[in-house]
This record gives sequence, structure tokens and C-alpha cells, in this order.
Amino acid sequence: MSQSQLTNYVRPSKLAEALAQFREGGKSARYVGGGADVARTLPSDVTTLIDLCALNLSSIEERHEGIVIGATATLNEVLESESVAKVCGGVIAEMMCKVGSPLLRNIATIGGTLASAHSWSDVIPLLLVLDARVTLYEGESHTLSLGDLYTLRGQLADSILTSVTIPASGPGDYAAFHKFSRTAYDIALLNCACYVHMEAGRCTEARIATGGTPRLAARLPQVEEALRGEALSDAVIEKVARIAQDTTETANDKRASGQYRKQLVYAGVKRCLQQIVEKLEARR
Amino acid sequence: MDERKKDFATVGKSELKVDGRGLVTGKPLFTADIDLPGTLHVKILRSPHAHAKIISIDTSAAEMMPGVALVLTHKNTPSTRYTTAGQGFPEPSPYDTRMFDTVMRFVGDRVAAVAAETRQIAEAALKTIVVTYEKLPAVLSIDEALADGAPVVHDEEDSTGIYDAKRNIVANIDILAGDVERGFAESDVIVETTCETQYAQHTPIEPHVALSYLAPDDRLVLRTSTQVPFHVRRIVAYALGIPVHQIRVIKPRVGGGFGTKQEILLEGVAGLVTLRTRRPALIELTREEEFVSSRTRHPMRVRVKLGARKDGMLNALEMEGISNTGAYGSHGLTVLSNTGSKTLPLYNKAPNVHFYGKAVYTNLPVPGAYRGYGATQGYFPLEVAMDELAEKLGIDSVELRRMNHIRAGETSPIFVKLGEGREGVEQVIESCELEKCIDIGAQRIGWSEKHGKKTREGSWVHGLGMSVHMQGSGIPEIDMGAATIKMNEDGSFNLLIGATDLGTGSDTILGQIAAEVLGVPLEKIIVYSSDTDLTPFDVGAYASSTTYVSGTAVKRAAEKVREQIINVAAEMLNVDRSQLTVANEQVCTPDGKGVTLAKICEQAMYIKDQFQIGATASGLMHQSPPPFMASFAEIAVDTETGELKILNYAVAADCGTVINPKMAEGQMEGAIANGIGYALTEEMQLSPTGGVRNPNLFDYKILGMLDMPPLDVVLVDSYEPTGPLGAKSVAEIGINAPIPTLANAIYDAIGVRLTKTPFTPEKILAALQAKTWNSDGS
Amino acid sequence: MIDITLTINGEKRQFAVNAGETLLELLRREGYKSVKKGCESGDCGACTVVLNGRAVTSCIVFAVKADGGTVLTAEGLETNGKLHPIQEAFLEEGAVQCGYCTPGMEMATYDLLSHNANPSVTEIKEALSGNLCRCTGYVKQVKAVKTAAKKLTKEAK
Repeated sequence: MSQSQLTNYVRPSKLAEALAQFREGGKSARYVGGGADVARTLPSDVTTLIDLCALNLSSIEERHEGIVIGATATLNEVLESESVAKVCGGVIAEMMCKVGSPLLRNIATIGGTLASAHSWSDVIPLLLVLDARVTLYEGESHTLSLGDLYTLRGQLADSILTSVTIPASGPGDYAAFHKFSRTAYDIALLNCACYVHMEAGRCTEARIATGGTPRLAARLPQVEEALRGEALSDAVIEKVARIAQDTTETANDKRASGQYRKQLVYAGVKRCLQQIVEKLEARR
Repeated sequence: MDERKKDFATVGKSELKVDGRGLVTGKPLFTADIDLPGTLHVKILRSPHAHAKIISIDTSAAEMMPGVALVLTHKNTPSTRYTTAGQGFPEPSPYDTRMFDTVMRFVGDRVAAVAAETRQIAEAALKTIVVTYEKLPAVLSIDEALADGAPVVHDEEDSTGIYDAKRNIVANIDILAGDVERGFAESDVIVETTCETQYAQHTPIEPHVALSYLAPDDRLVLRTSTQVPFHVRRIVAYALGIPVHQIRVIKPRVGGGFGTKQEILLEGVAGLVTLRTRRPALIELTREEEFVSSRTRHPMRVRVKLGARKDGMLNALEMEGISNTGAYGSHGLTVLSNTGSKTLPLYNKAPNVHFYGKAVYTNLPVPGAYRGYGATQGYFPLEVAMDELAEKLGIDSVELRRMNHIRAGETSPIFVKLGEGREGVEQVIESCELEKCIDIGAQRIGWSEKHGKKTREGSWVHGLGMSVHMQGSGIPEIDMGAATIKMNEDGSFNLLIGATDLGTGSDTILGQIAAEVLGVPLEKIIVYSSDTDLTPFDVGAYASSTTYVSGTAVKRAAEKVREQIINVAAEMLNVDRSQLTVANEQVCTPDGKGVTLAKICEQAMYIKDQFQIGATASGLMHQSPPPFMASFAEIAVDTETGELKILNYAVAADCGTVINPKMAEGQMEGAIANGIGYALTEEMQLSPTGGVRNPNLFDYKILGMLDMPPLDVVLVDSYEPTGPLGAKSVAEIGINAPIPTLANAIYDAIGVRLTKTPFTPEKILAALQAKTWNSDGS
Repeated sequence: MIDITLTINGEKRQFAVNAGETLLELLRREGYKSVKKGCESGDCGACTVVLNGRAVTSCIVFAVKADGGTVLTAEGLETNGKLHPIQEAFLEEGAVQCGYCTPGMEMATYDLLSHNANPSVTEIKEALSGNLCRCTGYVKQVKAVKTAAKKLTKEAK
């Protein structure tokens, strides 16, 4: 929809300029990356859009802290990046090709996706388990974990997300993603992301998250605890998948019931871990 | 020309669509693709209540808004009641609709309309209209509507054609052949199943749209995305109280219809705006409006009871259908009729058949015509019951169909007893290759190797399901189409047809029929269709009538023209007519003496005894020869999540002579895709107050390219003697298969019978968990 | 009103647009009627155009955002009356029924084939996964993309 209430669309070329424009607009201004979300549904009090895509924030680079993805890189650019492919054997591309459609991914930016924090987001749970960190600017830059971004959201209102950094992977790092949806081109009924670090056949570190429960993606600490020190046998996978099912809160919405989602939590964790086992076996 | 020899020159070839070039180059061919200066944009105010009386409506602020040209409400529009159903006159649907009513009968019903310079101004003006409603109790389900003392949806005095308005019954049907009580008593085995289908939507990618304007001679022109241009003309004339001859309806390219555009929804309002303001008026429904206030599938509850002897022969069939026809009764009677008339004759061996049911008003979104037209809803319990019967009898499902289905040379008592909304027409099947369809489908899916095996792959279990179907080809003694052909001096022809191409390719296949008879390549036929000023009458695109009925008209017109050509040629060559054949753009004697069609026309147009070589002919058919289809699917169901994957889908169909193979396949493929969505993923969800909760493509899931399973479509060799060059129809039949085929496949895989669509993973899992597993896991 | 410049089908043009106007609205009002309105919410793909070399649903792209960019629509595929191989392929394979989704499909195909000259069936389906069609069941469209790929490869030689 064309959102005829919008009176102003600016494309600042400097961060300080963008911040100033946002502060000037107050409640009536909003940052956009691709703008797809806003083009679909705009809160009624917004009249100014501040497009961040002219700030030169779209590069993807390998640095010592990890793969640094500029906030205005499109989802397809992230999907196709050879640098990003180095993370856990290409797991980000495995997830990204299920996000929307290529038409949407050519518009939506990684920064916009993380900032809009849709509860069904496929990107967020995977980046959470990959220990992603985001860099924010509000006069100065600072970095925090992606998880903290969501817990501290209220206090970060005028911050501009400028990049997301994913730690580089080494041997022993494995990750997987699984999504349940009604059709292939659909948001998740529920999704699941798993990361493990394996040494000598045992899991020394585990990070698991589910999203679309229908709430925003969250880590599953009891499952992570249960995995540490274990080998990824069928019995272990079954056990932790049940723990996930029992300890994850789910709820009804128009797409699925909470009870059904519980079953999907179980199946999602199981499938992710089974995928990791397959990747382990492929490596041998 | 020996038609049965089928040595056709263009028929049977996948000729390129005659309108294809314009479509692939994105030419402005659709209704809203032309810009007329001064066009007013019309937006409609819709009722937020499922049932309410308008006590007062204040449009003064809207009328005063700069840029607003006209505001319409019940106060300044005709109060005539009509039907929106695009059917032949007299329409077998109640006249229960007013253009702007004082009572709102569903969430989304029409309150008022604003015509303004821009869409934005019109939308802003709508917001200023103040309406006071008196909310009325609403009926939000079939059971509520039929309950004693239920609120009456249509209590007005001036509606007609309702069976029993006080009890919310739009239509009532009761058809009996033989004696079913006795039939069941005589049967060794009886099965009974009740199935329910959901609210679903056609979702053509082009929503409804209409553009009206005044021609220089002050006649009203309606350029509209419709399946039924002639019905539009008649019904708009009636609704607005103006003569038919004052209206011209033009159908440009249409972006899909599937039945939802067999309805006169927008043209009257657009036309009225134009008549009052003398300016062009454009109404384009948004996708949300398309969901809420256009048309839907009829949700139905259908019960089937079958009685058979222990050798498998059916002895008694009973089908009871209750149809939710929503707030207005368009197509209510006829869709219900079809539920029985297009299903029960398939199993004609049973002498005892009872079909009865009701179509019921509710204060819910309005169903209308939708590909399959009741047969889709009927085949669900019928083919599931057949599967249950097979299991009870210990006979293979495929075998049971083979034993019982109708064959060429046979008839069914249902044909004469049940037409579309009235008595039907006796008929004997003259072409039926269903046996071959079953053989091919079964072989391609690997039926005997895989059915009943419940092969497991991790948590996934495989299963196979099948179903068989027939449909019809037009409505006999009712549907009429006509064609006019005139010749040009280079040996080309103009073919003017009323028949309505909505992307189905009818322009092309009708052109092919003409080309075949006239002995020219398709390029020499210039097809123009669906313009009430320039083309002869046709009922329009529905009931799978175009190939069979309109095709016959085209063939007859072409034959008349061919006769004229031969006469002129005989004169020119000075030979007897009987010596001459028409082929390869010329008329020749057996010994090679000939004259080109171009020369012949030149002669007739300019040289001697000048006359326009041309003719008009009509097609009115006395039967409705069914196409037949056998459908098979292999699926895998995940016992952990209820997810269903279709691994393979094989369909074999008999549609008589296939005029254009790629197009016919395309019809089958599209119909199957739509049917799979209807079976698995599509559902309009209603709120407790009767509104649509998911009126968008984000939450109403139709199949995308990644969802399509491998699909094998075979069109078997067949010939229908009563059809043009042996053709029957192919348009609707495909959509009827996926629900019963997949229901039966689910049963084969996991031993549960789902009786309510859509078969979502959540429903499948719940059914699986509810079932008690036997110790051997079966 | 905001002034923007767009190069559409090779032609550089200037427009005055509203802040909230979408690329779809702009293109249609400027006469590029191949770009269709199907849902206006980015769900159906009928409005797909190629923007700066990549296929996007133009109904959820703000016109101002496209300033300075290049746009390709189905009208721009044809050259001097000669059909583009993608258009030929759609026509020949019977992949066009009502034709309403066709321009969008062609533009998504254009993006795919300009980055992947020989896509697999899966890659084709993924590339066109955002283009909905209700007429065809998608079977012949997949074939059409394969055929278009062959034609383009042949042309390149």
C-alpha cells in the first residue's frame, strides 16, 4: 500500500545526519532499510521515513572479530556471500533461502530484519545461536550481543543498527536450522536453530533457540545444559528434544495451536541435531 | 473430412495462444490497463457487522469533500432486487440482492460508495461517512441457520425465488430413483461417511475490476473482468432500469476467474456512477476486498451412504448435502444440484439412488460459482466411502471402481432427474475411456506394488490414494453459444465469438476448430471475442461449456462458410460442387485443378455476384458428455509432525479429442494445483463475529512453485461423437480429485480417515494421536 | 513532492513522486502497464520488476528509494519487435494462460538467468517461489525457464 500519510522520505548520507533527522521527527519518524515492512503496514503516527541505504553500510567483510555484515546488505547479498558461507559450513545460506522469496530478499536488509524483530523471523534464532553481535550508533558506536538487543530494546529507540558480526567458525563448530511452515513460501509456524562445538565426539558447547512459538526467538538453556558433555547419539537427541518440548512455552495463534507447537519444538530440535550428526559424518 | 480419422491439420497441435504475444510482452490488455481522462475512482464502504439494519447514514461530509464527485447509498440508488449470479435467464438463483441495501447481511456487505478524483480522496471520504446501525442477531453457521427460531437472513417482502425464506432455506432438493430403503436392506455391506469442506477462495491473481464510460453516442460501455459479458449486460440493464440496447459490455483479457467472475458484482455501481456523472468510473477491488466481499466456495457438509453386495456391486447410493450459501443465494440451488448430478451417475450400476439436501442462508461471506461447482464437495465423501467399502469388502480400491463405474452405452437415472436447478436431460454415454485412465494412472503410481505397504522412512510413512471422477460439458438444453465468421480477400477469416476466454485459451482452441474446418493455418483466423456489440451471444465461460457448446457453434459456422466457398469455387472452376475439397488454403478437384481461398474471396467481394462470404451459427447441445478422470497420489506422512508430502501425482483424463494438448494439460495441471491447495493448505478463517481473519495472501496459503509435487498428466485417446471434432470439456474436472485422493492416501499411510478439509499437519497429527495403534502398528 | 530520476527500460526519465508512493504505482501511472497489481502487499509477485539488476516486488519498494536506479519491465525485454528468448520460451511452452502473472514471472526469470545460466529445476523453483500463479500449476513455467536458459546460452555462442 502506498501509505499516503507519509510526507517525508529522506536518504541521509551520514550517520549523524540520520540520527538528527530521527530525533527531529520524534514519534513520527522511522528508520527503514529495505522498507518492505513499512510499505505493508505503517503505524498511523509515522509521517517521515529515514532510509539508511545511502549510508554505505552494505559491505560484508572478514575481520579478526568475525564476518562483519553491514546493516543495509540485503538478505540475498548475505545469502550469496562467500564470506558468510564460511560460518559453520554455510548454515546461514541454508536458513536464508527459506526466508520469504528472492523477491523479498532483494529488498529486505539484514539490519531491518533484525530491528523489526518479527517473532516468526528465521534470521534471529540462527544468529542468536551463532553468537552474533550487533553494532549500534547513537552518536557513538557500541556493540552488544543480539540477545541483549532484544532485552534492551526500549532503551535503544533512536539507535541505528550499523552492522552485525558473526564470529568465525573453526573445526568442531556445527550448526543447523529447521523451519515448519504451511507452504514453502511462508513465515514459520515454528523454527529452530542449533549450534554445537564438538571435541573428541562430545559436545562442549551448545546453543539452541526456537522462534515463532509464537513469541520472538529465545534460547533454551535447559536443553543446552543437557547437551553439554554428551555425544550426539539417538538417545541423547531424543532426550534433549523432549526437554525442549517440556520446557518451551508455546501459545495459540491463527496459524497453529500452542499444543501443536510443542510437538514442533520436539521435532525441530530433533531434526536440527540430526542434521548436525549428518554434517559430522560428512566431514569424516 | 473424415473426423474420426483424426488426421487433423491444426486440431491436436499445441498451437501458440493467439493472444500470447500481447501477454508475454506485457501489453496493456487487462481492464485497468487503460487510462481514460477524467476517470473517477470508486471505493466502497463495507459493513463491519454480520447482520445489521442501517438506521441512518450521513454522507454530507463526504459529498462536500473537494474531489468527490458522487456518493451512493440506498437513498439515491435503485431498489430493484436482482441476482448477481451470471446465469442464463431466468436465473435459477433468488433475486435477493439490492445494489445498496438498508440491511447488511455479512461483514463486508455494501453500505455506500464514493466516486472521487483519486483513490486516496475516495478512501478519505469513506472515513467521513457516519452510519448508525442497529445490530441484529446473526446466524454464523449452517446449524444456527436451521435451528428453530433462528434469525431470518432475508425477511424482506420483495425478494423472490427463495424456497423458504423464514427458515433460511434458499433451495431444497429431493431426487429419488428406485427404493433406497430396500436397496440398503438388500445390501450385504453398508458404509456411511460425512465430510465437511471449508470456506475457500478462488484468488485469481487479478482481483475483480470494472471500468465504465460513455461512448460518443451516449451509450454506457462496461469494460470488465468477467466470465459472462452477456449476463452482465442483461442484469445491469435490469438493475439500473435501462434498456439492454443502451449498454455495451467488453471483456478484455482477464487475469483468472475460476468462477468468481461469473458474478455481476461491480459493473452496476460503476455504470451508475458513469450515468450520473457522465465520467468514466473505475472500481478495483483490493486483495482484502477480494477475500471479504467477492465470492467463495460453498462450504458444505455432505453425507454419503453406500450399500453393496458382497461381490462389490453397488446396490444403493444415498447422498445428503447441506450447503452454506452465505448472505446471498447466488448459485445456491445449482451448486447443490451439481453436488449430486455430477457425482452419482458415475456409479450407475446401483438402481436405487437418493440425493437430497438444502442450501442455507447464513450471515457470512458469499459463496458463488467455483470450478467444480459442487461436484468437488460431493466427490470427497463419495470417493472416501468407496474406499471404506473396498476395505470392508476386502476388494482392492481400484478394482471396486472398475466394477462399478459407468461405461459407454450406459445411462444413469440421475441424468434425467437432476439438472442444474431444474430437471435434467436423459443421456447415454457415448465416450468413456475411464477404464484406460484407471489403468494408466494405477500403473504410473505403482499402485499394486505400493498400496497398503506403509513403507517407513524414519518417522515418515508412505501411502497411496486414488479416486475417479466425471464432470459435464455444458448445461444441455440451456447453454447456447454462437459464432460469426466472415472472410477477407487474402483468404483469412474473422471469427467473432461470444465465448469468454479468461486465460483458458478458448480464443485459441475455437480458432483452431475454425481453421481446421476451413482448411487454413491458425494465423489466418483472426479471433475477436466477448463484446456484446460485435460478437454473437454466448452464455459465457462456465459449466465447462466452451469447447463443447461454443466449439460446436464455431464448427457449424465454419461449415456454412465452407459451403459458400465451395459454391464460388465451383462457379470459378466450372466443375460440380461434389468434386471439390477445401484444404491447405485452397479448393481443389481430385486431379489438382484448384483456386486459392484468396482468389475465391476476391471474386466474391469485387468481381462477380458480389456478396460477403460469411455465416452465423449457434450451438445448443442436447446432452452434456462427461469427461472422465482417474487420480492417483503417493504421499508420505510424518508421524512426528503430521506433515504431508506429495511424492508423486498421476492423473489420466478422457476429454475426447484434445484440441490443443499443452493447453488441455495446462487446464488439468492448474486445476490439480488448486485442488491440492483446497485439500491441504487453504482456509478462510472466520472470526466469532463473522469476519474474515485472514483476508490476504500472507495468511491464506495457495500453492507456490516450490509446493507443486511431480505431476504426471496423461490425456488418453478418446472421441466424443456429439462433440465438435470429437471434443468434450476439460476445464473443471481436475479440481475434484485431490481432496478424496489425498484423504484416501492418508488413510493408506496412517490408518486415519480425515473428514474435514483442509488436511493440515496439525489435524493429521491430532487424528493420528487420537487413534489407537494396534500392536503391529497398523 | 520529491524529484527522482529512474532509467526505465534504458530510457532515463524524471518524475515527481509522493513520499509514500510505491514503485508499482509510479510505473503504472507512467504507462508501464505490464507491472500488475495483485495484492499490493508483496505476497503475489505480479508486480515484479528488475531493479538495479535484481528482481523485486515493486509494490513494497518506495519510489524514492529507487532514485538513481535502473528498472527493467516486461515492456523492455522486446527489442524492435523481436521477442526476448524468455518471452519466446513462455509462449512456446504453453506457460501462459491468463497472462496476469507472466510479466512478473519473466522478470524473476531474467534475474535468475542473468546470474545463473544453467539453473537446475530446484534453483528455478526457488527463484520463482515468490511469483504466485493460479492458472497453471507451475508445470509449464518451469519448463519455460529451462527452455529460456537454453535459448540464451545458444544466443551467447
